[in-house]
Amino acid sequence: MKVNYYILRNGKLLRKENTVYFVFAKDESQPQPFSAEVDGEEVEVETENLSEKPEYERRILPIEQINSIFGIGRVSITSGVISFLAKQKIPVHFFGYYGHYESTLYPHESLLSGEMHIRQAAYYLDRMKRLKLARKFVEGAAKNILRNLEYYQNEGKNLNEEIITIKNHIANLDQYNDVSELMAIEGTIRNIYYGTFSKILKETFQFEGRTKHPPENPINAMISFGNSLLYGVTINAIYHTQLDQTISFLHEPSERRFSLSLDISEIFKPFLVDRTIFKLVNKDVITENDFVKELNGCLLNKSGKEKFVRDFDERLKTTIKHRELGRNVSYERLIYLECLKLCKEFLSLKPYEPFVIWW
Amino acid sequence: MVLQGQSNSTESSDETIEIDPEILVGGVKVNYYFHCKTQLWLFSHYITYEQESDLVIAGKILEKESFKNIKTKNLLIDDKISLDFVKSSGGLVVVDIKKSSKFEEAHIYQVLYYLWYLKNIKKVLKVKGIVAYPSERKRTEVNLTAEKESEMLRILEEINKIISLPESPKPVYKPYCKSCAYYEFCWV
Repeated sequence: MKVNYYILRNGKLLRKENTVYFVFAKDESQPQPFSAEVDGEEVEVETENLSEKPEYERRILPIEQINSIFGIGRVSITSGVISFLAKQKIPVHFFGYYGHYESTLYPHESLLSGEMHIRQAAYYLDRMKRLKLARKFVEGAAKNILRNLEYYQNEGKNLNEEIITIKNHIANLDQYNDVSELMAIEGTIRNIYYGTFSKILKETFQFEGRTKHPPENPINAMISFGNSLLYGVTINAIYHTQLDQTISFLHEPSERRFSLSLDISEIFKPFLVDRTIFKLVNKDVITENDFVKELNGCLLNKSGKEKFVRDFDERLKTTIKHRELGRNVSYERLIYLECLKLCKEFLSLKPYEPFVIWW
Repeated sequence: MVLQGQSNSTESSDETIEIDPEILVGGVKVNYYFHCKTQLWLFSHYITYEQESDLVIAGKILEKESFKNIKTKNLLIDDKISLDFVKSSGGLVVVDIKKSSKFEEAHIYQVLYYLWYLKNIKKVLKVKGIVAYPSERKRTEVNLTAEKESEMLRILEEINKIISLPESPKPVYKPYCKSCAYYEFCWV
């Protein structure tokens, strides 16, 4: 099974023949020479020297086992690595200073199907079909939110009122005949849900609603970071199907380049991101020391990101016996299966039903 | 298309028939026709899935590692059919390498199609076929009889009919679904 590599340090990805190295300074407080753009030819010479200098360390990335690379630190990349990773079909996701998603170095599409492409686009163009799918995405997201709330209700938190309200919203989803209305109701549900965080989470952290660009407090910093990671993971899943990353249904295709990932990750946020946050906070894994507070924002520092990524990735690798398939699949694989379900909807093979935590 | 000189004998005649080139497909599709109609439709519409399973890797290694002394491997003809290798021992022999003889019927028809193609399209007569199972030390000889030849034409027509269906045939569960690249797609 291929895995994701998360690079938290600042450094450089280099290629020597068919091996990819990550080279970084042992002492991070020293000036980093990596971010400079160097001409392709010269890079090789420089790398040789760099990795053999005692103040640098290098790690080998086992190319055959990489699903994708998450460049969370300042990761520089050489032309040799770019072509090699493209050939191996390995996407590299880059994240910014605040832990937000910046871009993906996307290998060429190898699973193109005109048939699927046309069908996916036709779904977007058909108002009723688009609406139906958008509704399914909201329904899936809301039901997974509900599963989280029900869990904490069972743990003795009083979330009865919120659970009933969200259930009502889900029951009424059929009333909305416009995608923008669905977006709005999705926001409403999410706000009710975020309102419960003060009851679910230990009092270590204050959380008064969602703030972005930049996040204002630790919980918001974690939500933003987690959603960005999930966005990348979902792009990976879509990459391995014939689906077009840019044609989305709940979110407008113009919203971002890869907007289908926004639609699909909506369903998985409560399950993969929020549960990571609940665990890290309630088990005291993450503390005030894992954040940097700035004048107008808050972000995870290196140790915070490391803790988050560790738990998030463990979650992705956790397996569950899939009821229909009768075999174990990882949580990450569930996102890929979600893409297959969409393919089947487009091919009229089986109506799409969103993933809802079934255990 | 016109069918000419169909003989009742079991031996294939030396005459070739006129073929509408539109009907020609890749050899894999003949195999899939016997294996699974859903797979045939999806594959033909470029809806394919990568399989990371050990089985597929084993198959690739087997193809690469067996018959190493043979130089003429992977012959692509007309961008249509791909022959694992061809040898000449008392006439031309087309060999297709397979991992397991579990789906021998599909393998035989795939090779029969190659023979049919060579005869009717490339006008290469007197070709024999072999399905080789190196890991089982087994080989099955394939001969294009007149009977098989007309059957092949019928099969090609049916394959084309399935491919041009507006919707994919619904998956039907078979015991070998579990080892197929489409397993997750069909049954999720």
